[in-house]
Amino acid sequence: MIDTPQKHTVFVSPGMKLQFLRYLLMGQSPAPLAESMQAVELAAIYEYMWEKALEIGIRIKGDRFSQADVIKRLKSVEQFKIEVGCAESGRLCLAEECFQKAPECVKLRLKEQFNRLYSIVAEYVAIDYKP
Amino acid sequence: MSFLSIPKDSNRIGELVLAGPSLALQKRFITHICNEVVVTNNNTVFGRSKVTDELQLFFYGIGEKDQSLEFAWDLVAPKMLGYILVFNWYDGYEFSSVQQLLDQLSSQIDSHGLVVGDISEMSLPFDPKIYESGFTLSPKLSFTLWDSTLKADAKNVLKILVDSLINHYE
Repeated sequence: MIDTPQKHTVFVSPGMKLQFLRYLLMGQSPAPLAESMQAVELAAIYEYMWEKALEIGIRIKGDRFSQADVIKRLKSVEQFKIEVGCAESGRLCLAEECFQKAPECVKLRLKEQFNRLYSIVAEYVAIDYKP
Repeated sequence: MSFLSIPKDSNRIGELVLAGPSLALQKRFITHICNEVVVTNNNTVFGRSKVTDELQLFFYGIGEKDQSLEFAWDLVAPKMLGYILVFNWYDGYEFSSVQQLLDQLSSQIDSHGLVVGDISEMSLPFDPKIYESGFTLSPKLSFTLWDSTLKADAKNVLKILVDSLINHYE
């Protein structure tokens, strides 16, 4: 993954998606939900919430919405890799082997991105965000 | 499910089931949509809405949580257009109940469904255009919010479900 989510085929129940949406629309951090999930599940729900965040951005801002603006406000791969001391080469993060070798690193990365994504959406919809 | 009388001029009937932790919300939705509403003595609500002389919609509010879980979904699902799960958006207990019901239904039946959170208790600080066209949860499942005191909102909920059905068959 560079900045946008990879595709993951793991099944996420509609009830779980609904819960992440509820937290998003209530300005609450999804961190408590993320804690108990596997890295691969969290990646799949992140893909879903990424799409919903873009939908909300388009619904609010219309033609003025820019996906690039959202990406700019997420933590970059380079920055994250420096912070966690990742020695893997290239620009990839959340590569397939990371899910096997370092699931906690994957979760940390996703939790940070969730936090930023939810904060951006809260700003769009003009609600307070409680990280 | 033929509780209501069927006039001779009606050829087609579409059936929709409402469920969730609050019978009052089911009844409110059905009352907004239907010309004819009947509340039975075993905590269920039936409503009929005539769309044209040839088409009617029947709505069945099947009562509160335990009844929803015990409902014969496997028998009804093949014949119904879809289901609507209504709950109080601000009530964590009701949300958990609907979440459980949604996961159970989506694993048991292959019907179109819509989850609807009622925001009448407290208006939301953001623009309704954020949610008024709904959010997809899966190809056949969607979610939206509504103010249960408003008839127009109930019609919008029905529109989202009908849109989902039409999109599926297009």
